[in-house]
Amino acid sequence: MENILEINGLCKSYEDFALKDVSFSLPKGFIMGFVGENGSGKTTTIRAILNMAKIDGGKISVFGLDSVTDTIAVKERLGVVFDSLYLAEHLNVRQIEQQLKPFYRDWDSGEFFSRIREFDLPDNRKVGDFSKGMKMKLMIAIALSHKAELIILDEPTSGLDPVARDELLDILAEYIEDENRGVLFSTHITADVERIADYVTILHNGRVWYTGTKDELSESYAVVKGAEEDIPSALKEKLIGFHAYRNGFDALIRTYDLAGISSSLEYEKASIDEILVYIAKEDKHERHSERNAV
Amino acid sequence: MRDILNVMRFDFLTAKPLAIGGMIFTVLIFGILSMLFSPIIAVYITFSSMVFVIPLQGIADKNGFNKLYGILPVKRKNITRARFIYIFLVHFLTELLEAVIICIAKFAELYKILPNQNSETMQMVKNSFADTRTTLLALFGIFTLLCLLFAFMEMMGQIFGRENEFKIIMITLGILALIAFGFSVLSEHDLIPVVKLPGLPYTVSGMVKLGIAANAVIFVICLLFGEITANKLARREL
Amino acid sequence: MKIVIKNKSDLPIYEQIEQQIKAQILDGTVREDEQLPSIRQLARDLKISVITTTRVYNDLADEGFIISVAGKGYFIAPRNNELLRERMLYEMEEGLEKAVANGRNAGLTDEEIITALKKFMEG
Repeated sequence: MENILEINGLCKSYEDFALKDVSFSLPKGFIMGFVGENGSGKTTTIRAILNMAKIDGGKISVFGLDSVTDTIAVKERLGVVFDSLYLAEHLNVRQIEQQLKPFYRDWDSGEFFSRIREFDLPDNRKVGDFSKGMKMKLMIAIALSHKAELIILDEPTSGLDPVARDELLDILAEYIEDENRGVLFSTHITADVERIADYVTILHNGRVWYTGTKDELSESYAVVKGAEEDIPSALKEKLIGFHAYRNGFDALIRTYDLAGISSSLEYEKASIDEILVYIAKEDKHERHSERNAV
Repeated sequence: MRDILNVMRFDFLTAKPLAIGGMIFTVLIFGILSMLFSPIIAVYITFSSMVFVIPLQGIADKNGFNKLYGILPVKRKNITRARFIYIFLVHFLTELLEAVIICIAKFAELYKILPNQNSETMQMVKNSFADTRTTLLALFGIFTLLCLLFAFMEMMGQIFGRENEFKIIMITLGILALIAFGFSVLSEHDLIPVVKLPGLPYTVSGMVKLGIAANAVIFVICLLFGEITANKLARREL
Repeated sequence: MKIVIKNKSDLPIYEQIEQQIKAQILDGTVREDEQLPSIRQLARDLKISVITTTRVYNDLADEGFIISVAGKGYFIAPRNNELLRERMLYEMEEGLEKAVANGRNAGLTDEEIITALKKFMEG
């Protein structure tokens, strides 16, 4: 399968944060959910793909082109939706179209205005007066109008109401009907990608914690609950984000560790959200025990 | 080249809705005044054409254009270069417009319809219509000064950031004060009015040649400032 | 064809869809040779991942409910009543076997199990 996006060993350090050896790939025709808590490195990764952040090591290819040396060719075919609008707020949709049109070889004004109508965006109002959802749709209309083959969304749903979020999923579902396209959808609202994403990459503290199909992820992890004394000691070490409370405990567990587990322990499939929560808990736990060791 | 044109067009369309009304108003008012009282008044239009340049950096910062620059299929350096050529072009086109108004004013001689043709004031008006050399000196002088000033401010603003605008304004004012000081020294030595500055040609054709040379030099300086700024910014992340 | 996905169901989405399509094939809501939406259309309509719908169609094709025609898409398989019947009989036997085993494990006599079955059938 041909990869529309491929990241290999991406490293990038800042004073207080670093991406370490980030690698993942998105095959053509699919949607990837790119999740992780705030500050896990999602935006930095996206900035690296766009060559906005200079990478310290590794290689990124988009459409098989190098993201640094072929950045212009990549951007001709790339659509990006940021969490905030990147356009002059005092202009209206028509003026924005005039501005952007000449930059793209494949710009299609007809497509742009039919999208604007489809999305119910007024073409004579200042875009600065648009609601968050309308701004998001305007950015999508722009991406669709230059026939972007890959759409990257950086936290598009933060601060969006449920209706607008649902509309976005509709648009993406329609977009990906064409199997030559791809979507990288960064978000911390995992419910958005839980259904629609084919692949999931979880970033944690600047590293890839999981990357692969969503089905495999949800089959690989379970949330286990019960009384603490029922956990075999060999198993206890394998629990992720172990959390004990007065009447029992809960933790994340790899499904293959479930074999031979005591029947007094209950377990159920873990959602992406739960996985993120337990990873974060595990982190605190580790830090805690490190402190104790010293 | 196509990139630079597109970015200039982008900058123009960004500023246009904010600037065009004031510009038309100024052109009408100063155009009429210059036709009636003195062609040299047309030169003031340059001050309003600034509105096509001044808001751009603020709009870019406020609306997160760094993100836009990150996604457009255009080289970062060309985005920076384009701004400096744009600044030159705004001033150059204003200068041309003023030159056209000055020509029309001189040929139309509308001052003849004013009352009291024999008054002392009227004599000054007639003199100003006759003195093409001073008018051209003002035209080229204002162009040179303002275009240079704006290109310089743009360079400083982009390199040191708009949060340092206060410092930039202070530096710029300092430079202006130096120039003014120079003029005052000259005037103390009886070298003022400006028309008598040594080295300036006395004929109209000589003045036009000097003007063309000034335009060419300013264009090169704008390109140079653009290149310096582009190289500085290219090392930074968006 | 009507498909309803429950997010809060215990069944994975692909299984929910498979069950619903099978039920509609068996009760005749969808006719044989009828064309199914493409994998990508179905994913779009239901707003679910393409991998999920691909799995649904692969499973259904493996079980003989639908057939894939290269270049044309997926169609409801010609109804093979014998095969369907056999399959359902097999599933019934499997279920009964499990029910009897569970009943015996719980210490019921054969009569008690039969009574339970009768009661169950009477609803």
